[in-house]
Amino acid sequence: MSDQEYAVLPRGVSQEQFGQAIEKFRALLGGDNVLVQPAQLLPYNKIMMPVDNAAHAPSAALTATTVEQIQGILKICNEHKIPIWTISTGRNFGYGSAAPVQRGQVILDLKKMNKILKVDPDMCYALVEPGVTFQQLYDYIEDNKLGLMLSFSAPSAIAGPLGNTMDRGVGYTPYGEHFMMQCGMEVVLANGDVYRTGMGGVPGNNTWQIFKWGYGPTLDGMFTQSNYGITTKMGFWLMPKPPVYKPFEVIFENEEDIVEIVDILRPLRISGTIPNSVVIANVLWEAGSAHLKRADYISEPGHTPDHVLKKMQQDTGMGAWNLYAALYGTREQVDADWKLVSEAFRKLGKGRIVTQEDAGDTQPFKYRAELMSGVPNLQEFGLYNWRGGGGSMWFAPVSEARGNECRKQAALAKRILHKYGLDYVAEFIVAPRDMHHVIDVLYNRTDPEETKRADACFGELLDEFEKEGYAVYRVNTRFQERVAKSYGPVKRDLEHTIKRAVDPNNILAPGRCGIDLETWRTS
Amino acid sequence: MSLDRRTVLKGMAIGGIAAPMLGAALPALANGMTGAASATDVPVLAVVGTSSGAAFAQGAHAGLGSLLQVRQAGSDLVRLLRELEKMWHGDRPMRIVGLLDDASSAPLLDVARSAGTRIAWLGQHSVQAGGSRHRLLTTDRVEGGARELARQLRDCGAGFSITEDRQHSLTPVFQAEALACGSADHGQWAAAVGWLLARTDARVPAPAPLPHSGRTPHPGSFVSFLIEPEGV
Repeated sequence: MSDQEYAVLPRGVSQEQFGQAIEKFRALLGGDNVLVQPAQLLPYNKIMMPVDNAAHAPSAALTATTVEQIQGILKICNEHKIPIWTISTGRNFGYGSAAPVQRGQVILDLKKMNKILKVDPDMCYALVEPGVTFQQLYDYIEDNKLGLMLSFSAPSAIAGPLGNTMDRGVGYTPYGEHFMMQCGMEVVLANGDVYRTGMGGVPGNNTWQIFKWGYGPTLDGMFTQSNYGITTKMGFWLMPKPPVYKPFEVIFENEEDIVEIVDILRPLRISGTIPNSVVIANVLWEAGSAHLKRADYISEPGHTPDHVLKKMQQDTGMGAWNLYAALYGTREQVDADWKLVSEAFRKLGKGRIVTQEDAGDTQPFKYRAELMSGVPNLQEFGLYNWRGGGGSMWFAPVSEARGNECRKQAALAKRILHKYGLDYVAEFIVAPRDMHHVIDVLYNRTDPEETKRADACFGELLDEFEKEGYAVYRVNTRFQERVAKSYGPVKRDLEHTIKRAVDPNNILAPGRCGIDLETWRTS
Repeated sequence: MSLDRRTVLKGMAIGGIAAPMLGAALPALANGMTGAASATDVPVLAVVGTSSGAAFAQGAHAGLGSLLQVRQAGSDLVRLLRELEKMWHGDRPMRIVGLLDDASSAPLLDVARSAGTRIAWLGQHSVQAGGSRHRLLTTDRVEGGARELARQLRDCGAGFSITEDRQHSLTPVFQAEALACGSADHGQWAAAVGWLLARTDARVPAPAPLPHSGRTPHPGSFVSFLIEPEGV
């Protein structure tokens, strides 16, 4: 037994119990894979949320390389009631980073499970482990000249497909709704069972990454944004690289234009004329992505006034709204679609169309064009320089793809953010029928007063949007319990009934998305 | 203006880790002053951005001399990360100190974590004309570092506030703040941080970088770090 004193412990776990568990982890994984020193854990504790790092400090971190090791870890966790917080690459930034939802949880870092198990260029799919990054997969596809295209979120190069999909993240290509393109998971359950979804349970079957549904209940979705299992393999479909790719931007001068932009876009998206997840970025998202800094325009504290935004538009040529989309296919297909798209915008009489030929290598067009064609980059991290100070929370309500709804959401968000002296830095990611309205609540974590304001602001955003019937699709770990409430008690009762059935000891990420047997219905 | 100057130090005794005097440098430095062996004087790589990076590198150089190598981050972040990853996974990983903007530091620190490195110091710095704010997350590897930073900033009359959180501690372990005096040198902070981080574990005495009167501070937000490969 270890005689080491641990400064951080999981909820309800004694020093003795924790010490015993750590010794067992060491025996199972080897000492190098059991991290308990502060300098080893500090990298997991870098958060961007408006709370002290201490609130999300892990007690330890483990790294595993095999499914068998994960089964062993879960056995120990069940024995000692150790809660475990699993990450794949942990690049969740504005949604909570790698830190656990509750102080003291043990991080299970699956970064070493980073094998690309299969890429089938004929059936166009990949099967990967959790630690595989988009950059790694991109390099593999390029090195082997496979003619396939990835879809990823903006931190593309360093994030990974499994983690992003399990959190129901989105990308910018025609395959941008990542969970929709997922096909076949392997999940280690809390009792150590290894469950394969879809066709994966049939011995010798070769359609695990081909046919999603299998037989009987389809459970894949249950393991996303939840804490019912640890996903150790995931299959997903890849888009064949088209012979012709045509990215374009349409720049709109006025905020009010959002109504017409969305209403003209919707039929083009629903019909598939524009096949990809279109982005409509506001001027501040655009400015941050182009690595402009607020301090270059204004030194006064508070939100950036509209007249400054107009000045930025004049200086840079950016619009109040900047729409990015792309066409894919043969020359004939792209030419035909381009005629329909450009005609639609010309008929509107608003919007300045910019093509690849016009834009050349200018930012932010360049990185947007790369993202829409599956080329990873890190350009959008520039948003973190806009205000600076290391604070970022992504507020992401879902909206109907209807112009007046978008205007209503944008106005509501802007009013609340300005009330708290913060900027409305936003983009809409456009699916055929819905839009992810992603707002980066940026603030300065070195300023305690501003940090408090940002926290209160995020709370008010959630409250006020809820009053209008809106809710977010994803949120950082600080607010996961709060957001779970938005979806009602029946859903939560069911989620906890499932949790009791599949993880009675509550060892898998208690608190994730508000699912925690210890706190639900106990007060 | 100097009459308005005040300094508040609080919370220093939390957790029993307070150093006995403000002027004390890092424990390793104290060892150095007694002429300990130089076995751990390994090369250090300073990764810096353009704004304020020069002052940071100057401070680091004052602390380490020829043992310091400097790498400008540049605009190709993907390339930088690939280089660092290769080094961390190679035969001769180096200790890295750095001062970058938020955009560059966010992915770099994440990649460092995945490479299995240790991070002993993570500083978030915000600089304006009237002074600087520093929020530090540290480990006991850099014990006394925040205190030494406060001392150096006070010596050059800069206005500042420092909050040091210690990994594993529930409350801040060190807090200090001061208003600027008339002849304040707000540009000194980056050199001071560079010197402090480069000196961790150094065994050869080195004077702190001298304040450069009149140096213009680069306003903005910066992230400093000390990254060590496993086993160093």
